[in-house]
Amino acid sequence: MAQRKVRDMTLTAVFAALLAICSQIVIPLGVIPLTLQTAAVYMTALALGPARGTAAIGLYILLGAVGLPVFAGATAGIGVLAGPTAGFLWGFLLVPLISGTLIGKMKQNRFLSYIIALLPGFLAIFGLGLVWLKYTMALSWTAALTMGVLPYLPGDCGKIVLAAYVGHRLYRAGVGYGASKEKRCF
Amino acid sequence: MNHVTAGQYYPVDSPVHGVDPRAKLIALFLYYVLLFFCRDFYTYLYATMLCAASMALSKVPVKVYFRAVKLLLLFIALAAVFAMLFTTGTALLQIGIFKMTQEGLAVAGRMAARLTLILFSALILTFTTTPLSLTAGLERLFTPLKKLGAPVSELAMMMAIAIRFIPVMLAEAETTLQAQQSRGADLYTGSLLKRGKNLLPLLLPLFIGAFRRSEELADAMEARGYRSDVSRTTFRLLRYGAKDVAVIAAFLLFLVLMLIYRWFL
Repeated sequence: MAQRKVRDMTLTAVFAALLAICSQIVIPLGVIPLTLQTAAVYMTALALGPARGTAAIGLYILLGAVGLPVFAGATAGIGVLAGPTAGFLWGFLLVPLISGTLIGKMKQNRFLSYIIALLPGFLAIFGLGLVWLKYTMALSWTAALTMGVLPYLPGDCGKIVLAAYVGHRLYRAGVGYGASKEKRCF
Repeated sequence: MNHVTAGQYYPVDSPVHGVDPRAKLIALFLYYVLLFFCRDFYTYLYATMLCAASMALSKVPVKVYFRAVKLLLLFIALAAVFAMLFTTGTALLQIGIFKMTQEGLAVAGRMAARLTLILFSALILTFTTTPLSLTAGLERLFTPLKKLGAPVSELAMMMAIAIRFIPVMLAEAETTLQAQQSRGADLYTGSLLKRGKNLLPLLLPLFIGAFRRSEELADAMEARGYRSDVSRTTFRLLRYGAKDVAVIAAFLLFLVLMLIYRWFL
């Protein structure tokens, strides 16, 4: 038990660091900067499952709150967590709970399972982000939708496919959530 | 990507830097409560003055503050314009289908002012306190929660590990990227699909490496006798001084003044 605990602690902490790095990897694409932040959130959910995944994302948000520039665009601070785009960040916390739980219940050797598991998580991020944006800035639904959701939609579909692929490969490599230790590649 | 390691801490010697992290956290919390009670122009002016005075005392150049919030300020401005145009009420100015209303102007102004002040006040904290001392401050502040079974010291340990591992994982990401590029991987050209595919040889080793590293770290910690179920002593002790008490008292006073204005004047 005690051994399990230290392992979970280090794994959670290292994944929080990984999230911080992935958020800074920018794929330049037109006017909208496409970061791997959400993709990393999806992958964390798939790789760590609900409990450790939520812990890792919570830790990542906490890192940003204490001022490490870990959020997309090297921003940080408690201010970001109360700012207009904070709903998306809080939505990240729901992804492991939803998608992580789902993938644990599905056939994990199938690639399609990963996509299906991620879709409700994706809806949770954008749902919460949209509602938050609308109420913090007192916008109408259409205005909030055009500002906060529509520009990011195509990119995020791509990220789901990418994350699902990585999640599937991690499972096959024996390190993902629910994967068997015998297959472990190191 | 190198700026990630530096953090947002701005190392200069100022009165604000010297304050205990716990006192700064409490002061920031009190300031947020104060902001919550802001309604009219004068209360926002008061809150802005407090924020500006603290920023001046922190001796961090104003330019640095603005550079840190540039993008978010732009976003707030854009949202303020949206709010201004889509709120119904008495029209002040009408251009085509766009109507600028008195109510819209008030709503947008309040929202923008509150969010901007939240951003700047939080920056004062993070510019003047290193992440590690802030972590220590948070740990001490939340120590009472340990009695309720909250894993406060474990959380502080995980934060310290994560902070330590950001540069480590970053170096690993860069090494992997260079290794894959030397094999011909190309992240910057081609269609989106191709770029996404080319990210895989970077992401997979990075994630598998994270699992490997965390196991090694857990082994190393256990080999050195780390246990999470016993209380640990700390190398750097936090002590409240007269200055720290003064900071908390001052912000309490600012808040009380605001409440008096709101309810009695």
